[in-house]
Amino acid sequence: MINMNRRKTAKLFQIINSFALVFIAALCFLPLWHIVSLSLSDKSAIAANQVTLLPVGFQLSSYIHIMGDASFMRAFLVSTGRVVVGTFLSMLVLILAAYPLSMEKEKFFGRDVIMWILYIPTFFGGGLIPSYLLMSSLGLINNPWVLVIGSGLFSITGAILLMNFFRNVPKSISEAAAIDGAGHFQMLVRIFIPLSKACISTLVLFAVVGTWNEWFSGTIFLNDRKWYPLQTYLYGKLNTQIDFVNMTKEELERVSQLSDRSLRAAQIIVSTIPILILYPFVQKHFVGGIIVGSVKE
Amino acid sequence: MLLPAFIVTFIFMYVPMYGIIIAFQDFNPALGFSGSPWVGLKWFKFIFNTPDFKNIFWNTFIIATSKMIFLQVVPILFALMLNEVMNRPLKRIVQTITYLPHFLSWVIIGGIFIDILSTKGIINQFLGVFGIDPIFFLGSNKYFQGTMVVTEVWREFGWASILYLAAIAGVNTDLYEAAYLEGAGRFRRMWHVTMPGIITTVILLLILNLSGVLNAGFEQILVFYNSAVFETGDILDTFVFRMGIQQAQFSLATAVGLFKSVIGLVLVIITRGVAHKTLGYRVF
Repeated sequence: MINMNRRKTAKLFQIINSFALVFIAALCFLPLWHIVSLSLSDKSAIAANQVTLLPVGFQLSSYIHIMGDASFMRAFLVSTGRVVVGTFLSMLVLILAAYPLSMEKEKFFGRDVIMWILYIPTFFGGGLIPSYLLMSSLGLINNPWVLVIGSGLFSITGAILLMNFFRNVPKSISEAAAIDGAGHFQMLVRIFIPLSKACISTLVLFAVVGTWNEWFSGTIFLNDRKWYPLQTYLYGKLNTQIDFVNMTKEELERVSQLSDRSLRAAQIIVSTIPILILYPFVQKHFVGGIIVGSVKE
Repeated sequence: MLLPAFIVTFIFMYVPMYGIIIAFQDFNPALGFSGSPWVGLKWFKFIFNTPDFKNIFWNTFIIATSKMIFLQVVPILFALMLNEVMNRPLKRIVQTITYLPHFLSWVIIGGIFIDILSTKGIINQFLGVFGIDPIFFLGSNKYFQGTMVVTEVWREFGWASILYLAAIAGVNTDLYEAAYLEGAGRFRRMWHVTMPGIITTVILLLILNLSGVLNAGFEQILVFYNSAVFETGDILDTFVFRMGIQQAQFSLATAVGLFKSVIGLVLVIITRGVAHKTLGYRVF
């Protein structure tokens, strides 16, 4: 009898709990979905507040307008180029640093001191203004390279993750290679990197996502919109009205059919698509990603 | 091999630390670091005598601690709920969706919420059904701080729950069975078996997070705030940004930034020290 009751309440609990979780997930998903619907709805439907979860008066002109918007497409390309160059350079610096750091301090004199020197900036820094003045004296203000350099080329947290991975490479393999006369570079390229593919792909994915999303350095270090990456471009648009002055006649005609909310929504969606494409891959590397993001062990 | 990392860190991290000296100068870019006159603690005295500063400090503190409290509690509850789900695909779908916002930038989230929270937006439409007048969430001092806390929790609670889920998974399942046979109900099992099992993780994260009491979320506020909500929305970081970058008050802004980072540094040392002593926490 007691057991029956227990089973019933357990089942009831399962149902309530599942509903609550579906509700919570909907709270996370619906704002994004509503924006998708807005981007696909026509002006009068949006103005009349008819759009909730499905597009009303389906149209693709917001997206067509974006594709023809030279400054938006340029910003998209700048972001893409920045992700490629930035990820490559930061991974290069990181892998090169992780290898010597993974050695024991007996083999590498001063390792702990260097570790501390690299680690201290994670909790104390000069702050925004001294960094800005430095960039300015290096001639990096308004220089597109600031997009790669300005947000930090080296992350010690990533290096610590990879360092721990390198330490798990069996000693017998590296010792055998050393006996065969492999130098440090050969050892790194032929043995350590191939054996750490899982860890390196985690780092690459999180670097790509992080670089794509980074917008602040573009906002402060660039005055010239020509080199704005997509997220910086979008930040500049958030609180401003659509610019009608610099449009051609055809564009004006198309835009007059459009709601600026729908246009903004389409810009948001297009800027998010690369993240959504990467997300399934990122999911496989969550645990590593947490460590990259928040230094734990 | 360490040279590139070393050079990058030295130039972009340590050189700006030297630049902190301008907090004690009347810095003039034309005269440079060595030519600008020294003024001692002038800027710090100036800051502490500015009524606005007190306000900004409290805004920072209130927003940061509210976020901290909610992001301590909500992810634990969420992880406990997820852990009870028997249906694996459901669990996976919920996780996939709730972790996603963490990967969206504040600019994207700002774009989304500025639209849905506007007076014409979907949230106000929904509230209108219940006869509630439109609320200007991002333009009124009454709602701005709350909106910051909610959007932050919206973005991070799923992601933050991962660590707790991992801790829950590590709890010995024999203990659950024993408790079940002793007649403990679901909530008593959660309280007497799961909680003791994850309490170390909870306390560790609590201690480590304490050092962020002045991190109210610079990028988030920068995206969302506007001059109508400076009274409640302006925080130390945004103040430094406006004074330093937009108004070129380099010394004043650096002094404010230094004030914040020194407090942060002291808190990091204390909290890491406590975590190391009590729980054996170490980074490398």
